[in-house]
Amino acid sequence: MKKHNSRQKMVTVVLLAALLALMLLLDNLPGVPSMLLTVLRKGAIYALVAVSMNLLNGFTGLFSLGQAGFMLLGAYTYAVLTIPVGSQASIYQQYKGGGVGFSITESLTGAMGGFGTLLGVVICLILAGIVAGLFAYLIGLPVLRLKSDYLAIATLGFAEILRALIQYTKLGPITNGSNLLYGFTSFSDFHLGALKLSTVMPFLFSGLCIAVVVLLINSTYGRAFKAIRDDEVAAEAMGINLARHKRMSFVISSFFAGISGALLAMYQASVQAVTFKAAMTYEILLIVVIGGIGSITGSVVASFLFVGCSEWWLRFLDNETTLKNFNAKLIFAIVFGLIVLGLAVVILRRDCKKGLPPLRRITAPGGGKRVRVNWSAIASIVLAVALLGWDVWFVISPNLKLPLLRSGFRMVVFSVVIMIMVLFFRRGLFGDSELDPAALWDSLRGRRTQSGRSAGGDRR
Amino acid sequence: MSKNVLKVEHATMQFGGVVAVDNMNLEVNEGEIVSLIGPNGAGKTTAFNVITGVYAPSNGRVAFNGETIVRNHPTGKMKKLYKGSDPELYTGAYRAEADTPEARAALEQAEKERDPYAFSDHVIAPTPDKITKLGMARTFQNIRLWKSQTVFENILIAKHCRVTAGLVAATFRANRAEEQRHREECEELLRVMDLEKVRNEPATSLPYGMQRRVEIARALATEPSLLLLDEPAAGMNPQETDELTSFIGRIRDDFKLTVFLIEHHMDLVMDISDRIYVLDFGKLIADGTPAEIQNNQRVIDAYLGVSNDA
Amino acid sequence: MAAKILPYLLGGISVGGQYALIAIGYTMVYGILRLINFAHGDIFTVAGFLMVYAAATMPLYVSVPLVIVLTILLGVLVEKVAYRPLRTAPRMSVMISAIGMSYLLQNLMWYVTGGLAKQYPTLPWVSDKVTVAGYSTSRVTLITPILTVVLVVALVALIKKTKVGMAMRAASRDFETAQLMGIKLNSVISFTFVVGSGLAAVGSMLYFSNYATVTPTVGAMPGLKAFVAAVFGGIGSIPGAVIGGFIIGICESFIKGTGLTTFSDAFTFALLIVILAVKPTGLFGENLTEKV
Repeated sequence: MKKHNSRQKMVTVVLLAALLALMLLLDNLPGVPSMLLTVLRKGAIYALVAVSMNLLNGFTGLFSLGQAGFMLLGAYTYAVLTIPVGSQASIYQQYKGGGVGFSITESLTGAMGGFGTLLGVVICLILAGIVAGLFAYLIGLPVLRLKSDYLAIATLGFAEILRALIQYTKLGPITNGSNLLYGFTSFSDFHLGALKLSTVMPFLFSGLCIAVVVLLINSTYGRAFKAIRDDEVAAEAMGINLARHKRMSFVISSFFAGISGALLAMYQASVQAVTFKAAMTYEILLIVVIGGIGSITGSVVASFLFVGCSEWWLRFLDNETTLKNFNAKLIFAIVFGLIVLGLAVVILRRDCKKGLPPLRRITAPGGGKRVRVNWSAIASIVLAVALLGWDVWFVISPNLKLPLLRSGFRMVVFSVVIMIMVLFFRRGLFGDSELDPAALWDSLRGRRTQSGRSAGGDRR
Repeated sequence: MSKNVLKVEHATMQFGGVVAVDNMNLEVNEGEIVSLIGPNGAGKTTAFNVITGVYAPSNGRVAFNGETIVRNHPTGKMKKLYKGSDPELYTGAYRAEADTPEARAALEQAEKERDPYAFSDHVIAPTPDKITKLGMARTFQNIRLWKSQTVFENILIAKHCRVTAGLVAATFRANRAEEQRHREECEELLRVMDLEKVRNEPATSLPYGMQRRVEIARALATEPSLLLLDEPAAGMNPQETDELTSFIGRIRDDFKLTVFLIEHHMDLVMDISDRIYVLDFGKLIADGTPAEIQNNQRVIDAYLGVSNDA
Repeated sequence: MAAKILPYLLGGISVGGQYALIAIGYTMVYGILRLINFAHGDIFTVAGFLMVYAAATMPLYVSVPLVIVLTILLGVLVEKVAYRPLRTAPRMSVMISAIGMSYLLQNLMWYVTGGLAKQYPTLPWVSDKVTVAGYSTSRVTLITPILTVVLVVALVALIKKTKVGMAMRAASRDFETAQLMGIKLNSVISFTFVVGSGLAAVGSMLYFSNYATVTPTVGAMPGLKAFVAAVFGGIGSIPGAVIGGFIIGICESFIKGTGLTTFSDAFTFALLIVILAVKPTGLFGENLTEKV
């Protein structure tokens, strides 16, 4: 068992190092699509938020919707502390004499050069997390006693209150009210000599934080969290103080949410309170659900998928497309028709397997015959026929423009996919298990796995 | 005279208009196995919940190893609604007839030495985890294992209350020695409870009787001196019940425990108990040795019944 | 002095009544399904958009009932698609489905309307200006509380006196036992959504007569505030939701009057947190104990 563990750890470390090296390459090779880099950077940042939310929701069972509020706190803390002193007057122009009057990164850069910048950034990131964690501690005192739905709404409410507070004009001299904060140290400021590091750095910071969360989850405290999630009455009876552990989980989750907010600020190179609305929390929640509640690898993978889809791959759905000629139209129509037929067949087979043809005569409980109608089967048939009919009409008509494709369609398709996942694939991509890198490596290399399925036969 | 481990005085638990436990007084001494029996709905699990801190009693006091751990009295709206027995600020000695003022004063003095909060309205209502840390562990009538965890993990989690390392130390693995020791202790428990073969199975996938063993092992992992078992033999066949009987005796000796249990299987109860308390509609109607209880007419009427082969 | 507070009071009662109508939908659904219908605020917004499109092509006496009917259909459809399949799932899954549905509805609205804000049609007679105690306001301000009270009284009568109402009360007490007693839960729940969505449609007509700009996200805030009203009054209690709605509306109006407009939204949430900390079951709610 122990040997398997250390081997697993080694493989993970090697993989992560390889990943960082890959990022370094992508940063500096010419011809890399900028969309890819965008997806990678944003994905890494969202991965950290998703993991922090999973820690709270998935591992401790506390349904909180306040992530955006803590990200907001972290982003503002970081920005306010790193804006260069010289720019503070112009950025805070609405609030005369605004800004904190110093900049941690600037002072350290002056003293220690490039290393100073890095140190300053790290210090400010940690401070961002601490501020978020502090607020979480205060908010948690009244709120963590509540049942799940009420906890969700209370944390949502607190996030909104925080957002209103930050935009409050009296706090303008520090937060710049509802105006933008910019000019602080961002990822593009990072370079090692001539090597650009703008994608490596978010991966590095995010990866380190996620590693800490993984260590926590696998420690005795992480197990206590899981016990609270599964049955808190039993957990309390076995000596686990609910209030203290829930607070712990809440504060740590918010700490990392704060850091991810700061990372987001660094990525966007600007911070504005209005972007941290409840909608952001919903997106993170959906990422966690898609990845699998209770799976860290799930959250990470799902973040990249989510960001990739919403920023990059589905973009073509937003553009009005005109097909080139009749042949292209024909190909499209055939493909479309086949897809519709295929889906209809799958749905109908599933229904009919259960022995429910669309219309059926059954004996009603009180005697007498009644016709039982299977609405979903009929709806599927009607829908399929309608779509195929449209398909034929499309081929016949002189139209070359594909319908439906215009601005906003991408998000509709995206939301539909999410609803399908939430309804039919509730366990998400990974359920509550993690990807085991050692096992994956083994299976890639051949069939010789640790569980004993070697050529020599079974070892039980 | 063995040391008193658990003492419950004038405990009353009232939910709205229902008095679930009414003026219960009982005690359990070191090394004993004491049973609490009675018909369904008599208030036995409620009594357990009061003792372990899940409910704060409407009135009464619980002492563990001589120290008061739970103490409450009716307040506010409850004062008017309270239907239980007289909410005296419970003192056993005071209740005894003391004829002269001097005798009474002497009794009060003795009482105060025994319980520093005697005659006061001080309230002590800890959360169950604090009571567990003091050395009292329990199992549940409806098995409450953690379903996403394996058998071994269920037992290991119960060790968490004995962890001295802080959050940061545990996260960064600075507590390797302690963690190793705890793991070994859990392995030992697995062996003692004969659960080694299923250590990596999800805890709730096991047969019912095995799950009960896991629950007992889990309770033992918290290093208790008093073990409260809520219907440990529920759902077991006669053979398993026999094994459980000898098993409880064995762990009492090996782990130096005191055991307090709720049970309906009379053979188990009569076999293993040093003393028995009988509860009916929240009131204690009898207590004594198994022989005394078996011949107690009131108990027979309320609960035991008469066997057909007289 | 009275003249000074009158506009705020009137405005508060008006918007409070609108919140109350939306809050009823939340509280009824939560009472039976223990679900916070996050999509309810978006159904409210859709009703607004439907009216914009309907009034442009049809006379009012057709479009008003049509909008109500369509909104009801939408509410029932949402329940069938997003909540019914998850009836046996853990609470968190259903809430996530509600959030997902809300997300979908918002994106759909954005897609269909092209993202531009639409102007709500002025309903005649309702939007006419009237003078109350020397202060000029639109008739909506007066109609809203009256209409709200009338509808609520009718609803409470329905719940207390009819079989359907009894079925709803039974279902909100004990979901499973109600089913065992032969109550057709699906019908009861659909009916709940019918009532809730219908009231939301009426509420939207009143609300948008006051704030005439409709955007896809305009319903989110009133929706959340209505939910807070429902919690404040005691989730599951209809009179509580109504009273909560009026209180929030009036307080919000006064806060806006004192100039702290950014905090008018935050105030609602602060109220929520206070009530959750002090009496989580709300003003008219009931306590439940869990059996160990």
